[in-house]
Amino acid sequence: MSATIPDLWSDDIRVDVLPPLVILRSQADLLASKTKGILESRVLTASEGTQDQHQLDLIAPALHHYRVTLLTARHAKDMVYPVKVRSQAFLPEHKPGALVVSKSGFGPPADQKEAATQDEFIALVREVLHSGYVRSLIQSLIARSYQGESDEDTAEISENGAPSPNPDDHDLGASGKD
Amino acid sequence: MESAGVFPNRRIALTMTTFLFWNLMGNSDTTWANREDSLRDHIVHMAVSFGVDVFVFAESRFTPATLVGALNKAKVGRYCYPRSLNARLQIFTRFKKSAIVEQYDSEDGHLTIRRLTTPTTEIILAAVHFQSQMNWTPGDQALQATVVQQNILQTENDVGHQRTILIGDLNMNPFDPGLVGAQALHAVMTRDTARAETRTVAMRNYPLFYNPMWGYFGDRTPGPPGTYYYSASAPVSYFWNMFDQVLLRPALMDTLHDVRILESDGQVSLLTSDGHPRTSEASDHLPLLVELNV
Repeated sequence: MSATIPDLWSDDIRVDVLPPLVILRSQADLLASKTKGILESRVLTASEGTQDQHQLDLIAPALHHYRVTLLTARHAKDMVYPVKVRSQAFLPEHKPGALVVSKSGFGPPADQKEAATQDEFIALVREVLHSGYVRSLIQSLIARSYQGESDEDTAEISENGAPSPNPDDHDLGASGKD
Repeated sequence: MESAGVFPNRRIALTMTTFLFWNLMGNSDTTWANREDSLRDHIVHMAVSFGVDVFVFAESRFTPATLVGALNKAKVGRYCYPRSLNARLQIFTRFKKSAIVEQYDSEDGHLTIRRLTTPTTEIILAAVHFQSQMNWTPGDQALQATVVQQNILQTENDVGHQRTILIGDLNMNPFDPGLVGAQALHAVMTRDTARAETRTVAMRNYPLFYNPMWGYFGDRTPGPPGTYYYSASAPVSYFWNMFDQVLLRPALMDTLHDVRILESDGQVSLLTSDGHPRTSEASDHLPLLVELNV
């Protein structure tokens, strides 16, 4: 009597696999309607050598079309999975743009995770878009968009760390410098 | 060759904008406390000696308020720190705060692009701090340079011109693929070559940058032989590297008045007696001073 050989293939094999670029573009298309056009989103792709990198950007048209990248997804040109996803949202104690000092200087960066499959990639993108970092960023940019440019001009740090009370109360001269 | 003595105050040309980039070695957290005071003094000296309009710092552990206070005590202008979501690259200016407007920030803070309005025109200021070669392969760096190029192009498209200056610690030399590759930064060593504005490779046009830093290698020109000194134990070691660079688009390159790798802050030397960066009191990088007639 012959032994039954089990099915050794992974359970997550599927035939409707989408590349990361398509998944990101679908998310980019949704944001404008969710924010009534106050914010937009776009995917930018760069290619070099054997790698492609896509970035999902948030755009505030009312703030001089200010753009900020929420995440990047990098993969080999001929193999779209695995894909490395980087985002500030992955940092354990998120401080946007702050120095991330690696004690050893080696190993993958703290703001990077890898997805082996479409489902894992979707989970990572969801994690980023649902993060406090991204949600705060979206709300802040919407609020600033309502404020408009005139209030943008008051945004500076003065000597004591507080917003400057009357930033234009000095004579700048013809050069625009103090 | 600059001396370490007192440097006379520079007359501020009304149509000259002076930039200074410096990597402050803030990633060395064990030494920052010992260097913080002298770094602050160096920065203030440079503001006085060189009339710096725009400071760009990488690896800074200063709070913006600390530097604003120190700079304004020097009374060579009213410096401010225009708001930014990017804390990795700090930009201070004595222009009005409304003169520098956020345009783009990367997800990791390594690239920030601003619109800068000078007395005569508007330019795009891109500041960058690339990842170190310790963690990234040359291929990784080349891809990242391509990403930077793409983001600059997108910004230029959004803003409507290409008067762009890219300044920062690229952690690559001018001859590395990330600097010279057509899809990457595509930076060439002469203005005449850059004047073509684009170069066609495999039937695609790629925009050019002018890289003046090529002209500063070695000891046959005034100033330090590079911006970063590292003596590797590997068979190939350049010793002096030109990691800190400024690149200019053809639309802006003819406004370049001067580029200098600083070996003093105008009052105090930044070099040891061996002629290497004074790492224990300042930084392992030397500052880069750029003057544009804008």
